[in-house]
Amino acid sequence: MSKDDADNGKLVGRRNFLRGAATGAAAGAATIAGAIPGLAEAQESGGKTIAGSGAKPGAVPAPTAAQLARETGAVEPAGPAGQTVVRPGSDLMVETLKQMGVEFVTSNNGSSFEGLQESIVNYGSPPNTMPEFVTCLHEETAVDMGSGYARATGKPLVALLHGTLGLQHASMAIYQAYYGGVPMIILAGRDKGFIQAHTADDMASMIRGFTKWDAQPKTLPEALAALQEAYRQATTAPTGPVVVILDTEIQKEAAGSLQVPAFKPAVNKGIDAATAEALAAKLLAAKNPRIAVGHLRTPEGVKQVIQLAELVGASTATQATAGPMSFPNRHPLCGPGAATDYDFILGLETKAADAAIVGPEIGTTVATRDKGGIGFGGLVPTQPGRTDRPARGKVASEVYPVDAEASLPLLIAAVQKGLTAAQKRAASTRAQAHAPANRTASQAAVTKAFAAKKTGWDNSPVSLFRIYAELWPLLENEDWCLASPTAFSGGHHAALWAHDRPYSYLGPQPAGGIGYGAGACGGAGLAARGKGRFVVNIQTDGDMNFTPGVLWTEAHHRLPVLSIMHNNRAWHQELMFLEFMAGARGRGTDRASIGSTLRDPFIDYKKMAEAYGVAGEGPIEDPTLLQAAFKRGIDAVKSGRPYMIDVVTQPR
Amino acid sequence: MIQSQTLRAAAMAAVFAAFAGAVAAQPPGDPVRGKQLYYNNTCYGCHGFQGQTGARNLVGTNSPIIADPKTFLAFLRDRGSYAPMIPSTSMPTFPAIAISDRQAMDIYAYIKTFKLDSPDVKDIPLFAKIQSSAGAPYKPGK
Repeated sequence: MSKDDADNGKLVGRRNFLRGAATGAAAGAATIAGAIPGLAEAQESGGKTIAGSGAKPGAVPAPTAAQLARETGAVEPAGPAGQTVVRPGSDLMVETLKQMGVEFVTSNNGSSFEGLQESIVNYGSPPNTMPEFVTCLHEETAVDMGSGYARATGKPLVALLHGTLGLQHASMAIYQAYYGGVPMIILAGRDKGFIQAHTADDMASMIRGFTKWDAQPKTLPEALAALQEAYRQATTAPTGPVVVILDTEIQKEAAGSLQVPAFKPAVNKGIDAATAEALAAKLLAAKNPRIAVGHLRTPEGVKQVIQLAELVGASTATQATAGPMSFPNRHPLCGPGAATDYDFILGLETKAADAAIVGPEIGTTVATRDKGGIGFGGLVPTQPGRTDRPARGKVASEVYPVDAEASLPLLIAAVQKGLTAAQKRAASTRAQAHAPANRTASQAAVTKAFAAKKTGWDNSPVSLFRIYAELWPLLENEDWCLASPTAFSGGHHAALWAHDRPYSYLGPQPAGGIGYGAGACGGAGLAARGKGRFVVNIQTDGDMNFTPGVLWTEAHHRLPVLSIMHNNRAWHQELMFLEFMAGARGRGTDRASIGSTLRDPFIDYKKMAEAYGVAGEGPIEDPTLLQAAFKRGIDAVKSGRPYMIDVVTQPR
Repeated sequence: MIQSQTLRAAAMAAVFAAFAGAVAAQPPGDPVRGKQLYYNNTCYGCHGFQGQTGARNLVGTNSPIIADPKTFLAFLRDRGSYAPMIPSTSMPTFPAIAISDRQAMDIYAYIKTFKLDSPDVKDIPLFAKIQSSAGAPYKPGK
């Protein structure tokens, strides 16, 4: 039967048959449920009722009248009656955050932390500074902002969440932060005396399987110590999100003469002196040494690895085009170098080397954190993914399982100590030879990218390659941070742009989850604000629609985020998957758009942005209009305001 | 690896060309109807709206699959049988129940209107700018 025949109604199409069968099955199920007394009600309620009571066994009692009155604002919050608390516990919590250098608390407000929120906004001189309360419209945004901020700075912020509800709203973003090993402190308020569904005995257990550490202090001194330990845990390799549950009573109690204890920062373990000397000797003895750099923890680590490479005149491999805190990719030493007969490769947070210093990954916490045996995929080597392939290329036979960044001071000192005058001259000669070779390689990458991707240059809708190409001349003399994941938009920045700052590109969604990008860019905006830097966000439309409220946060907090919509009007990867599935089954692709496209109506992102207080323009379908629009956008963000440009694009 | 892929592509083209011989001659398609079908069947998903972008651009590739309508139709109809022979396995099979012969010819007529119309790199001023930037002295980041 051809499709033409089916269209003409000559035969009952297979699809119509299946549709009819499905309808019949649903109707049948309803009939069966109706025929069995109580079944329909049980299906609806999720369980049996207690005879005569109307209440379900184990059910949470409905809020009391007093609780409802509180919820609706008719009464003031609970607290010590008849007195003013001069020095509440939450003031000391703020003092503790200030002491540790926590700049921001991202949050969607909640009654379980009204004490702490009041201290953040009122305590200190000036108040609401270090930390500043950042108003988020969704807890997922609060945590995604934490990821963007941490990836840009190497430092954690605090995401403040409300009870069981806030934790569950935020859980997806926490999950991504865990997969990414993103340092972050999650504080969750707990109010045992209020609506019972908002509290739990062990709230952290809901997210224990995908956080690194948690605590539920019982007293104010314990709470202050827990905040300090949380910071240490978050920033010690393997870095990751940590949780402290803060009871509302502790936030509100009088602190009396209690003082914030002195803070001892995290100590990351690096190689020992003997290992440093041995590795330094290998670097110095090599005729053509090379340093392969993965992702370090902080900008300080990047500075140090540049110093090491320059000392020994080593060519370097970088992952700066794949994520933050790696070697600057247009540094004269970065690239294949003048010759590729490397006789010693040192790996720093990468095993693509002869000898490697690679700190523990977040998967090493699974054994102690995932007590329930959930078994999240891909975290430990014994869980093969369907796309896993055998390792390719060089893999170090000599691996030191400690933090690379913490190892650099000793390694640099050992090199400096062992460096002879002859070795210094040799290093300088090597460096001079590497520089032109690496420049040529960078230019060759540009040529190759244009040759492969310029097709569609003048197309309307706009090609993704052209967006990246049009942007670069406007960015190259600016301080910018590409904070959005870019795999779906082609990742063309990798070949065309220089990634010379630790935060040039912040990397992909850590667990591949859509909805991360918009929030992460907002968090990078926090890191950029006031520093003469702005964020570039190539924003996929599917991602934007998970938590669009971040646009309001950007407007409200004056975050310099330039969002350029990659508006292909679809969850395009899923559309292609569905096309293949339908095609593999021989059913055609004319219905693949159902559930995988954003058509009928098209979404107007300029209007969306404007509704949240962000200036914008578009939709732009003509590529010749991009340059002027991007200039306007950059002018706007340089003045400290977010800006949105809706560009209708080719799918990929 | 590249040689292996080339050999496989050549083998695939030969198979489809042979198969195409058995397909009856098709009347020419209508590119206007083909444009709508190209959209409705989300062909643009992998090939771009003008066949120049995406996972598999259609123009400028010298693909034997779109060299003539019979090979194109043979490829749509029996592509799944030959999946292992080509590097990508993402292209669906389209039996007549999904896309009729007439519709396939309309789509073919439409994709044959695609042109490789991007300018030469030397005529793209941004190329020279970006090239120059890649060779410029390093400016240390903050």
